[in-house]
Amino acid sequence: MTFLDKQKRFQQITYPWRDRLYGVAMRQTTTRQTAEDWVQETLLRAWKDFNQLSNGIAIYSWLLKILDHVIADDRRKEKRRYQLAPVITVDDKDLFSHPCSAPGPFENMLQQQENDHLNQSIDNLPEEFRQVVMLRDIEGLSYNEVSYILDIPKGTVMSRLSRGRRILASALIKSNSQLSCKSKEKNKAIIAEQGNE
Amino acid sequence: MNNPTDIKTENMNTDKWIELHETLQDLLAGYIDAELEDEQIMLVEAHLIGCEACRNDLARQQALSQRFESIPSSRMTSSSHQMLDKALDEALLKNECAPKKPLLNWLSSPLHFIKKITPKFNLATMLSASGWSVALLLTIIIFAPQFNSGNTSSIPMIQDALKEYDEMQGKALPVNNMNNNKKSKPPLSWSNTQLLSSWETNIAGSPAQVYAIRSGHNIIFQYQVEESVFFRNPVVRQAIVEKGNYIIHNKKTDVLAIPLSKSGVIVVGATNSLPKPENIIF
Repeated sequence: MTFLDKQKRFQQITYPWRDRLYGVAMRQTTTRQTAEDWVQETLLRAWKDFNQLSNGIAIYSWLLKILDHVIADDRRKEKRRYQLAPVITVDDKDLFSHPCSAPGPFENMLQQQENDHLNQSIDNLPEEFRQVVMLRDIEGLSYNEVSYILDIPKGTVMSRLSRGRRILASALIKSNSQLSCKSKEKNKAIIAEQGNE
Repeated sequence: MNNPTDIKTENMNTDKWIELHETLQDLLAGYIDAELEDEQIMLVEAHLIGCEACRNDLARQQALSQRFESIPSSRMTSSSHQMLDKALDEALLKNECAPKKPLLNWLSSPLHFIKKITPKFNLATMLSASGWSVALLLTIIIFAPQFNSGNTSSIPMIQDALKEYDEMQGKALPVNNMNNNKKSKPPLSWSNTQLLSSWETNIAGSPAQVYAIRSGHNIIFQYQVEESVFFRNPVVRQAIVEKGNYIIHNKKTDVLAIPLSKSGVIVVGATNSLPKPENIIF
């Protein structure tokens, strides 16, 4: 295969995934420039390893694995630390004590949340949970694909996903109840003011 | 009053239940996403019947997963795509133009070729073998590729088409009356072409029709093959799915494979003589 053929072939198979790679990158940074740099670096590394790509590997998973390494390398440079992961069980009090923690109200509360707020909640998760939740729930990858990208066993994907979703649910319930408390207090203050008048 | 044995058994059951309750919490995501084994599903379902906390957790996880699916992804702007194209082109070219080690390449390529065709080959085997016959065989293996026409493919239908194309270069095209011939129209056409001859042949063990066409100063062959032959090879299938056609470039020829509604066409011609797929009329 000539260089031009190889280049053409590479661009044909990677081009359809560029936007999705960028989407994943954008969830992990606040600047477009950084996301674009990560995508570019991912494609350059993919080109270097292009000869090693075998037929059995899905292109998108392969590219995501490289992107994951690119981001990890970049963050290592920033000396960003992994947060200590909290353990939240299904018996955690926050999952019981608030009105919106029951399944129905929780679902209603989620529908009312802005996408930006939900993205921010995922971004606030400890790194090991954030990656799994993002790849599975937002990118829609299978457990086997997530396991391949992150180099962790399938069972670990499952446990991290269970715990990550639980931490998210707890955080969203807490933030929502704080908001509703504030708005109740505000309403009370308005009513009190109206009474004084 | 409870019997002490009953109390002990009850405590043991409670401990086991708590242990199971803690373990199964890590499987709840897998239950929602249908990633559990049958045995695990049975365990989780049996536990869910008696555990409201896990049922609620399951419902919340399901709601979260569904809500996250609906979040749209950011897309690159067209100017970002263009900048990325430019940066990649420059970087890829720079990478390709990096100085190579010609002597090493020259030495490694025949060995690589031998290894490719004889997977069990190793240097020790070669050194232990003796006699002129071995030396002669190796010489043929190493230098034979330099004498072929350069038209190769591992896909049988392409191999057959290339073989016939090569053979016909030294022969006269069959003469037939195009006006009366039912095969007087080639399956693909593009500007400035004229059908010269058509005949039946055999491609990958099945009958096929060949059309020799004049396209400017070039003679191009179109092989119309059966659908089952055309889609037999996975590499071709994948290429068709990804970009609608399959193209290979040999040293002297280019090959383009295009699917039709109930058949497929393999177009063979000299390098750079084939039309671009977008200029072809079906």
